[in-house]
Amino acid sequence: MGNRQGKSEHVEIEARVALALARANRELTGSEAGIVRERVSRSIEHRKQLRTLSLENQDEPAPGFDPESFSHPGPWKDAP
Amino acid sequence: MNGNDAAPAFATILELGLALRSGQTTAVALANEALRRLESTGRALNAVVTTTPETALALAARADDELANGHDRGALHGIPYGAKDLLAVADYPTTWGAAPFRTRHIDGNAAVVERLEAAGAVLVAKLAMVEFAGGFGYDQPDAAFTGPGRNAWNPDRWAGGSSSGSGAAVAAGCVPLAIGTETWGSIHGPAAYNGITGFRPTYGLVSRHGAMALSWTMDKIGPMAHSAEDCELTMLTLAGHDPRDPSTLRRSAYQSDRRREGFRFATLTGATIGVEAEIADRYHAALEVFHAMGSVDEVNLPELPFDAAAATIISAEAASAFEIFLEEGAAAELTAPEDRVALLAALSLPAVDYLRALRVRRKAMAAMDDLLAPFDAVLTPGRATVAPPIDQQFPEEPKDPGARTIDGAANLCGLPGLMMPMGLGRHGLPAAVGLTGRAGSDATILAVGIAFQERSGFHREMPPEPVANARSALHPS
Repeated sequence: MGNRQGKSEHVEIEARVALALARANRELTGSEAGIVRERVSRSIEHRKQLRTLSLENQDEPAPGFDPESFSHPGPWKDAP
Repeated sequence: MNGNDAAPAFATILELGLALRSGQTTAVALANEALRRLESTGRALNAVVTTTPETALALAARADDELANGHDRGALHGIPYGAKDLLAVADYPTTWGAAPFRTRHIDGNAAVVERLEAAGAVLVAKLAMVEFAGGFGYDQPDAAFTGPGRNAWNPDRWAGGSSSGSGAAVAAGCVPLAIGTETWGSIHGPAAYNGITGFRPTYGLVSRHGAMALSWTMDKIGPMAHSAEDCELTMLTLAGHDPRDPSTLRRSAYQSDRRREGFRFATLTGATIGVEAEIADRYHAALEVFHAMGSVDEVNLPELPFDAAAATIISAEAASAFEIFLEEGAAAELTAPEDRVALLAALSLPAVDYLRALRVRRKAMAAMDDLLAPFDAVLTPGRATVAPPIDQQFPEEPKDPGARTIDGAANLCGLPGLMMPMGLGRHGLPAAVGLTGRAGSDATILAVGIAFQERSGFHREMPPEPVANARSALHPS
């Protein structure tokens, strides 16, 4: 299982690096491609961290932040 | 000037206002002095992109005429300030800190520039910043076409980012007020490293019309100044709904919180783990001051992936905001080698990862509100270290359990925060304490800051001979 996960992660990293390179308008150097590879790898690490929080089917995304949805009256005069 | 007679360049907005109204100085004199210091000290610190002498002197002359004729626009009347160079100003280039845009002009003024002008403030400079506010993935200080932002206390140290010039220019006495922006740490970092006071408002409190967008759901604009009181005076002008920025809150005028004691504080469990010993000492001393202002409990930050969610959202939104720029290859002209390519990685970020981060954000917002609701502010050391050397790469994933993590959580959730000095740490560089509050508690956070500074006086400490330091660093004898 561990090896399989490691292999699929490697495949994803290389596929995403290839996609990124395809959208660049020039050939990247080896060290530049290495930077892209490291950042793709970091984003996959972030995904793993995000998945440590269990989400239910109906847990919707927050499209932005809406402070007005909270109860603090805020620093405003005549706050509603 | 209330203890600053010997150094009027470091006077607060309130002190300068008194001097203006008593006839001790004029707005034109203040503008000229600010321009002089910006061209000398400010340039030496790489804090300045463009000075704005034509606009400054016209606005300053208007301010003097109005005061002479009994027309007083309020606390900011005649006060010089600098704006981070991601805020549009019609008559000058707006570079976003990026070489490809070094001569680019944007029509119209940013909303905050409009509001400050209406309040009588005098724009004297567009201030340096990390290219694209750091959103392209820089990992070292040399990431702006104006050069690495140098610290006002020691030019061999970093000013912090991305509001580098805003932090250094205030700390070096070039301007009493600068406007910064924060997506994740860009006001708080430079404020902490330069020993000044920086305020990050609740998301939606200040209009971002005319400001570069890096992350639509995380960008905020706020003041950087010598005191929490000056930050509040500025917020009274900046806060308010703007139909041109749909994220701004539909509320009426901002109202100050006059309390100075009886507060309820909490410090994070483990807040000083991984923090430099000198900063931990300053933090414990600062807690004594907070104890005198109210109660201090201890709380645990919820174990949620705040930083991962914030990083994922910023990557996805920045890649979208700059998609065409990236595909056209213009990033090849950026200063930091990693900035030329790193954001390409986000073009292949799966949509499901971005959506998961937004779903986590909803949980995080509720958890942080539960944590913060019983308190007026949660306290942490502002940064784990003093300003790092100017030539040092950042650690791959900075680990500041008490500081960086709550910064990630607060920015992810749009919460207000204040960063202010709490004495000096290692190498005689500033140490800072950070406050985080519930959404909408901006006035309370600033009231806490004002009360702390009235009792402690740390915000009065000035850097030693910034001009001499800056010159010796650039032209060693």
